[in-house]
Amino acid sequence: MDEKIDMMDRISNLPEFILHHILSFLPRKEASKTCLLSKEWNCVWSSFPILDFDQDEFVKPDMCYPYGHIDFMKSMHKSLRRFTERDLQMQKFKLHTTLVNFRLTALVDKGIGWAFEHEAKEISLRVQTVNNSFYTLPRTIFVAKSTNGGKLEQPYTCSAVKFFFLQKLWLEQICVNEEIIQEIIRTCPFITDFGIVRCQGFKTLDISKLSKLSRVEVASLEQEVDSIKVEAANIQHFRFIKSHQRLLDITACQNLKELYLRDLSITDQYLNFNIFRFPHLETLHVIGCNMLKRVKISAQRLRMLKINACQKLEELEIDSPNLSSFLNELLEMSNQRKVLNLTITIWEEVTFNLEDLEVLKRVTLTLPSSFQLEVMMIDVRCSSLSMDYGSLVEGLLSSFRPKKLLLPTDWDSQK
Amino acid sequence: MASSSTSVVVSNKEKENKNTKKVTLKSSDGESFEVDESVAMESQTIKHIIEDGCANNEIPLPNVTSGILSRVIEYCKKHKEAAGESEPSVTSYTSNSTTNPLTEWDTEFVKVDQNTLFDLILAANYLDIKGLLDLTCKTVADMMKGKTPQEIRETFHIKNDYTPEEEAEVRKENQWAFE
Repeated sequence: MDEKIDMMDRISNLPEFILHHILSFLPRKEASKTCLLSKEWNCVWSSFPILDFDQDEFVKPDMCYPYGHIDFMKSMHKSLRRFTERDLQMQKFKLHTTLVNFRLTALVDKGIGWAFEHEAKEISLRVQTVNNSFYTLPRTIFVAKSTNGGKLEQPYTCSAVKFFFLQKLWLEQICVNEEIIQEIIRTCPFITDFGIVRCQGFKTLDISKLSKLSRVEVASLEQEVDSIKVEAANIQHFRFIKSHQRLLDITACQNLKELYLRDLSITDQYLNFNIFRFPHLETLHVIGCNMLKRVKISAQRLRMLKINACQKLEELEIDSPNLSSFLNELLEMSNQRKVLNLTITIWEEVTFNLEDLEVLKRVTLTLPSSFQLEVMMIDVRCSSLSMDYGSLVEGLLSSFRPKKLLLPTDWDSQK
Repeated sequence: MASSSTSVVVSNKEKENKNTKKVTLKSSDGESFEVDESVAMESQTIKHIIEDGCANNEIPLPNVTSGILSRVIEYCKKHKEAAGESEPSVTSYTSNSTTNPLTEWDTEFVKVDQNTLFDLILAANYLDIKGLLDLTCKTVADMMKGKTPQEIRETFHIKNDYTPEEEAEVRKENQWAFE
């Protein structure tokens, strides 16, 4: 009967890795319910290689320490142990927890150890603590076990261990010292993504020897880190957020395609100098860098530019022939009046001038006649305008041709 | 007052001369589809066949019916066009997602019956089209979200082969999920 065909259970017949892929789009709590669907689904769930334990999913925010957190860790440990008993490769191990007491530290250590043992491709670790201490990454994971099995060698003498499977590593709110960082670099040569956020314990960060590194994020390093050096030719994406580094050296990353700088105290010279060194740069975000005054961006392949909340920015010159979309939110400066010279130079000269503006002193947009530019949005938020409202709008529309033009509704129209 | 005028087209690449190589894809039920080579190469499987020089006249796809193949081609065409025009996607490790300018189109694309959806999943897997596989799998995941196991079973016609005791046992083992 036709109805029977429509009622077929097609989903359970999909290959297991596709079912795992479907489960990967669900939060763990939802995904785990599939164990009850049928016995077959219980098997699918048990072999699900993504072990993502986020306390936010488990512990309600109003639950006071330590109860919910201990149960969470116990449950994590149980799930992990069940998975490891099946001797499968982990795809991802992610843990976000709070150490409400010292006994839980051992569980975290165990979790990471298992992740390495079961060749997790992606490891993400965020461990908060209730006092001011930090969780320290155990050295023992980088120690080779002797062939007799189980016996740990001296931490510094082994050289045979390599973890080729690890591709993505994310450390947040953890204490790592330079030795451990070096151990990581030495033992995990195939890391492609590396993130280190709000960590402490080291004075210099040098991740130059990771040759496959493609994506790096460095954020909010707690203490005064003296220098950060990243010298890997294959890095394409670099995000650097809110750190007080004295010396950030990324000049050797010539293949950089995307650069994201936020809340940093970088100077004009630093930015101008560096951007010049990245000929392949396609995306640049500069947000909240309050020491920038005059910035010149000259990048041949730049396609997306976003500059936001740089309070002291006075002059911005953009000389990028390939800028196909330009998102500029630097006018978002709330009630402050600023004098700003904005110059975008592309090819030939077709100019449009807006004069007598309180905020925009001089805007010159030069566009070649054959060049086609798509501007996504101009968001104008200056509080008053001495210029003719109608002309401003017409001018902005005809020269920038933005997809969206946002204007405040409380301007006094000078008409 | 917000307004937008006609936006001028983005492309600042050199206009490609009309050098559009075509390939022919043949479905399991014998129907042939001629597509631009660049569109067909959205499928890694087809890309390898072409690059290995094994694509003579037609590329036979015995695992894909014509109905599904035409949809897949539609997906590839749309995404290939969009890739040429849009801003480079901005990815963030923390958000684990990329901005997709075709979200609305994609949502409409997967509004199909279950059978078609699963056929699309299998086709996307066979043809190795990551975007389509992610889209279709995520759609299935969304169909599961927020439902109890019984509701999920009903949605997908899954037979419950647990005895009540067995079910209670499994539920106990995974207790935290059901709180």
